[in-house]
Amino acid sequence: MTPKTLTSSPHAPTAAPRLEARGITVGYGDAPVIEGLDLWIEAGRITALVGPNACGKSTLLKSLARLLPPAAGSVLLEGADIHRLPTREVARRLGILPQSPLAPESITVGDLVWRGRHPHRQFGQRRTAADDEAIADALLATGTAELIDRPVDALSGGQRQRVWIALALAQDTPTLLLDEPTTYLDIAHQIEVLDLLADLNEQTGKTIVLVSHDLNQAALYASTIVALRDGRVVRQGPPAQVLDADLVAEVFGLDCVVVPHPRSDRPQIFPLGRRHLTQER
Amino acid sequence: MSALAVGSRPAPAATKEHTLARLRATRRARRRRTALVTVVLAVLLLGLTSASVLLGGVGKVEPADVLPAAFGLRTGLADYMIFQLRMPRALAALLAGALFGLAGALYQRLIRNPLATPDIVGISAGAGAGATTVLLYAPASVALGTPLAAVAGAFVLAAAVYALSWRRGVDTYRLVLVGIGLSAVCTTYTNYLFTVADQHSIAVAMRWLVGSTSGADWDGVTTLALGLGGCLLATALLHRPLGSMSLGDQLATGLGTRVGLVRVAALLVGAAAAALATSVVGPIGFVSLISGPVAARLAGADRALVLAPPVGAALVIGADVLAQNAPLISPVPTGVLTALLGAPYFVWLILRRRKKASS
Repeated sequence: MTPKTLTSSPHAPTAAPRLEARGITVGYGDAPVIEGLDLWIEAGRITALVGPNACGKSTLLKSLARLLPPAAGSVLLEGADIHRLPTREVARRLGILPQSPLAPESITVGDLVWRGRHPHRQFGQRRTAADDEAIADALLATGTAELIDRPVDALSGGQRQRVWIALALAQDTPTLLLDEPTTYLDIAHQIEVLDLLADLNEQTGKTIVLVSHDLNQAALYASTIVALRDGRVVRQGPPAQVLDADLVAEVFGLDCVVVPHPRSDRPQIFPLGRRHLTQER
Repeated sequence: MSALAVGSRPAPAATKEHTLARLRATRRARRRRTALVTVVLAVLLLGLTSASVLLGGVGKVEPADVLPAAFGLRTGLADYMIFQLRMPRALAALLAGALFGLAGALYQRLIRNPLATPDIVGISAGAGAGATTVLLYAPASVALGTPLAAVAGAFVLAAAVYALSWRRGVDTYRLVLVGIGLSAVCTTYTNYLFTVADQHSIAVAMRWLVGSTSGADWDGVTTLALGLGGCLLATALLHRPLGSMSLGDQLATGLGTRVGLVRVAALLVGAAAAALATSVVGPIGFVSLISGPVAARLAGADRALVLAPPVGAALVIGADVLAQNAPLISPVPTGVLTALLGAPYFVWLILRRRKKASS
């Protein structure tokens, strides 16, 4: 099966985008990972960035969160250049959970989540009632309130990931970016984390952008999929419209069968390995 | 998504009121703990300072004369013994200990490693080389020249260690190895200075190099007090940004921390603190290594930076009282006693980390 070449199908935004990348070129050193990329992130949606290893999805997420400055082009947060805004101001509007954050030795869950309030604190100001509210809400939303005085070192992988999300929630930003939030979790914990993000999106209208290594989970939970390959956007749009066998072939170089999820209309892929293809013939 | 039947989760046991109450209770408990530790440390410091001035090692002063002399109300021998010798010595021990404690805790917090203190990564050796140069070659300008040369030496070393060990992040073992290497370079330089200096200067510099409070005068105390004030102020500004940087550079940037600026500022403040202390009392070893972990053990890791200065002060003045008065061993340089305490801890730290790394 020879992959068809797909033209990129920009998914024109209906309203002003929450986040926008305009012709950004990003890279470490001489070799750009992303070159001249354009992207819209719509407000109030869950957007999943998918693609093969080293396609630039994580680099793109870091650029959107101003962790990596683009060599060319610009990232706009609510219409303003994110690198021109004061960094604390950005931190009150946009949260980023990197793939492997560090937990200080022997820190408790409550103290870790409290760190999420950093952008809201003024110098010399003590913890306010609003801080406590935000921390309590974040702990309750992630089901980690019972763990409040436990050291983070002593938690299971699933609990720890929920605590990190609680930190990001305590930051209380309308936009939240997450880099592979389900990596290293077993399947039940992966779904638990994704359910939590979907709930947050539904209940608070939080705009969520996540990098996912799992196409099926991205298709189930995201309202928009951005498929990347070699640092460019191959397709962007609702899973039902963009996720098909051609896209998987183009982006991953993988043959597959696409069927609807039995309890949802979302497309799911079943990979076809070499042995399945020969059986078919 | 809504059509997905996910197994029903148990109803959350915690309510918001309950969670808020627990947050407040934890905070109250921690404040009480911090307050208690602060009071205990204050009493300890007061006791050790009194012991240092009253016992005072060499020389005898009538007990009735001690207190008036301490306030400059006696003349003659009592004035000389108390006001010119023992008071500056005790205050220098307190202030230098606080600076060492602060410098160590800052570096440990910044580099996220208990081994990475200014003396271990070579900053103190740089300060020592700077200060020795002045002690041996410009003895006339010791009061101002030594601290300045020490700070300059420390900054040069901090920049060199940082530049040589930074590869898109600090690897602690590379940092420690680079520090050991550069320390050796500084020691060689210092040794070379000794070979070409005159006998009197060498005697002064040698005593200083082991780490001793016995040479401290009021000029030194002033330098230390100003330095401690400045460094504490800077640390107050850096405290919260450093707290967010303990989560890693990326998350800290996401939380609105200017990571590069804070890192450079903390490195310089720590280097200055270690250098100023070193310039007056010499490189009293291991205080910066022990103070932060002891403070963390007493009042929690979050308070380590705040309580490391009083812990460092208690360590140095405690060691100093022993160095002056302990039977059989006194008088010895203060640095010998802190090394007796600190060196085994250092070895234990390395062994523990080796075990951790191999398991």
